Amino acid sequence: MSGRVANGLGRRTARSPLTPALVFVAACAVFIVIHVESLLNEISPAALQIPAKLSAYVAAATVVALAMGLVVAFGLFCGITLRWLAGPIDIRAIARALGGGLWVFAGYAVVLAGWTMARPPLPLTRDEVLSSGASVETLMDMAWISELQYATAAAFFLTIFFLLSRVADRVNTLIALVLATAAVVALGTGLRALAALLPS
Amino acid sequence: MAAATIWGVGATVGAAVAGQSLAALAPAVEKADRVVETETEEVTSARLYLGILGRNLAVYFWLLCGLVSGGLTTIALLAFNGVVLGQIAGFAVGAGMPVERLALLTLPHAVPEIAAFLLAGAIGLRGPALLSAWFEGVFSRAPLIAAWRPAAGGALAIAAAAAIEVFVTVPIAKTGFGL
Repeated sequence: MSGRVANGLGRRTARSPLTPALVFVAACAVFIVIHVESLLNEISPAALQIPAKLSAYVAAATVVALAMGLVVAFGLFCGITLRWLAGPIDIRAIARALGGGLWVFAGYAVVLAGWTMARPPLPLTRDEVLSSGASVETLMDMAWISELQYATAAAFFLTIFFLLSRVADRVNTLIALVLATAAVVALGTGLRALAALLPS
Repeated sequence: MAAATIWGVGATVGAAVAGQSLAALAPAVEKADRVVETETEEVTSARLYLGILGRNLAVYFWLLCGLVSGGLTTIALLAFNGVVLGQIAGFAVGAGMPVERLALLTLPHAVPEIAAFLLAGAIGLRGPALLSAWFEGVFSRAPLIAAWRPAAGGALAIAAAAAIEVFVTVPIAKTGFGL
């Protein structure tokens, strides 16, 4: 009996949209901790390390939270569009589709975390930190990261399309995905353009 | 209240960590002051105003986005903003800037600016309730409609704060303190 309960609990946990979100966050946490601790561990004077690491951790955590927030917003925009096109829709179906798509992002984050664990980056000097010109690609010799991002995005959309089209009309699903993508891209691009107005 | 708490905790942590590193960080802060001085000389007031307004509005809208992101963007941005401002204040005091001077250079624009950010935070933190209501089968646009008036007021406060920063704070910094 208890084995059956445990199996049921395991199945529900695996199906829950929160599980891939937690895997994604955990993998990102591994990636961020290894990066911050490796890159900023030899800054001198040592007193600089604590505020530098705090800033890095807070900035990285903010980026992860913003990414998760955009995924939630994407799901909501999808749901609103589908509701507008075809009437009321069960939001749990959208959450399940989003959870399926999130497994793709979780896989991407696990690949990055694994790569970082295998090849931790070299510590930065203080001048390199202040120059702020370094990117993840150059720091980690990860020129392939942009291709992986495109592949991840494509797999994310295909997964969501496949899962959503089981509960909604295919054409409506496609329109909802396109409009939700446009809304999220417009949001991100618009806010980035606003922030870039400050003269440097 | 929740928005102010998240922001306040972030600011306290940022200021405390900066305060612990005062002696080592003082030369870096002096260097940063010189960089700002040389860079701002070539920028017109109108361009600086647009730049500050754009950056603050971007933060403001990210905070409002909590309404459609389950509050995630709001919580992240409030904590980030609090830590960054706390660190800046901690570094400035640690580098030897008198508290009265710091207050004179920040409070005129920071009061409306932070008030607007906290207002946007309070609106964004309604996101989880909105999401939860939708999961319970209640789809209502009323919370979004109710939010637009305070949100528009907050955006005006951001515009006013940017104007104060450019046309009050910068002249104070230049004429009063020779920065």
